[in-house]
Amino acid sequence: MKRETSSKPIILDDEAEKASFAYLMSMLIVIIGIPLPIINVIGSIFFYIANRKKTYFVRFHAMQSMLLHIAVILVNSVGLFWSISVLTGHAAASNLYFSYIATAIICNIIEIVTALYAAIETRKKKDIKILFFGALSESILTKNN
Amino acid sequence: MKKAAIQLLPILLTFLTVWYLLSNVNMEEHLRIEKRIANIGEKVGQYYIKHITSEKREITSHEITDIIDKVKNRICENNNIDPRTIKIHIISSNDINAFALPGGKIVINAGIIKCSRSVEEIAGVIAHEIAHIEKKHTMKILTRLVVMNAIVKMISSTIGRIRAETLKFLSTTAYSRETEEEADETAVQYLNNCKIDPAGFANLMQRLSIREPVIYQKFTFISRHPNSEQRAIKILEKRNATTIKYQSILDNPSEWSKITKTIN
Repeated sequence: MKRETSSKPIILDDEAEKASFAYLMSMLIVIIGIPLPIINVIGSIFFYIANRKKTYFVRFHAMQSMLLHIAVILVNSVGLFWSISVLTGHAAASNLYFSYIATAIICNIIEIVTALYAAIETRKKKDIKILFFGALSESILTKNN
Repeated sequence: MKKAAIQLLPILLTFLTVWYLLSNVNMEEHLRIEKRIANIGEKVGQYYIKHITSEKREITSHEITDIIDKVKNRICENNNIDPRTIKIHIISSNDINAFALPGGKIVINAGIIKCSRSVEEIAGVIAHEIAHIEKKHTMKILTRLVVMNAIVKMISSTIGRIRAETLKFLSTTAYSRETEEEADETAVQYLNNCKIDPAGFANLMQRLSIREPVIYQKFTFISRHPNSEQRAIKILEKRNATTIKYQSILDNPSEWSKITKTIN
């Protein structure tokens, strides 16, 4: 899922801290007691906007973290609406539904582990690119530049 | 962007493969969902009955309970329903109402028994409530209420009122027009299967319609709940579409009025 880039640009301590914080946002929000998943995405969006004028390293990780949260929120939203439909009797509590919820839980676990790993590695000034999200972030940031 | 699109493919494939593989595991059986839901229903039903009987007395006089149980057993036995799964509670309340609760519990207020002119009318009410239970309407409504209350609970602190409000909702206008119509239709089938005349049920509905607010009688579309007059018409239409020879529940029908007078 993850791979490092071969190029090693000079990254300052302050940049590494900011990039690492982009991934830690979601964990912090959960820890301080706001278990609403949409908050993670909102937090990531604000973090990206606040750091959009910073160096490429910070912007890249803010964007990658934001896209990662958006992807998971999409998976969770489908699960949430499906669950509400099941609870209100508009959909059957089928095997397909339970397997989707299980898959969504696996996705969330992978996302948390990935975000934690990325936070640790970026703090060490290592440039981590997550499969698809890294490429997409690069593509968006290059276009904007 | 092309690079990202190519990299998206393995992620999507992995997601779909995991979902597909997990869907082949019989989770419903492993998680014993049906049994768990039934247990929750039973507990919820008991909880509400305890709440109702703490406020109003339950009538246990054999004169009335024996007839009600006889009707229930006749409906259940002729419709492949285990009578042990349905428990009827007669409550000393003058409100003209009857409602089903999760866990196969039916509450019939003394008011509706007093209002009835024959046991066939009450048989219609019982068949209707059994239909709600068999079609799992009660559990669906309750789950919806629990979800709504959970949301309310998150944004306000009205928890104390929730139990009373939920019960009020369950016992009055919880069911939608479609749900009520489905329960009426099933009730007529149940009654036909055990040769109890659904005309009694229609007569009761007709009389109850007089008590409904005029606004609902005239403008039925503003209410999510169907009006009693329309329900009576539909019940009669279904009843008249068959050529069943109905059998009286009581050997002496006048016996019913004597019994209803003794209810307090």
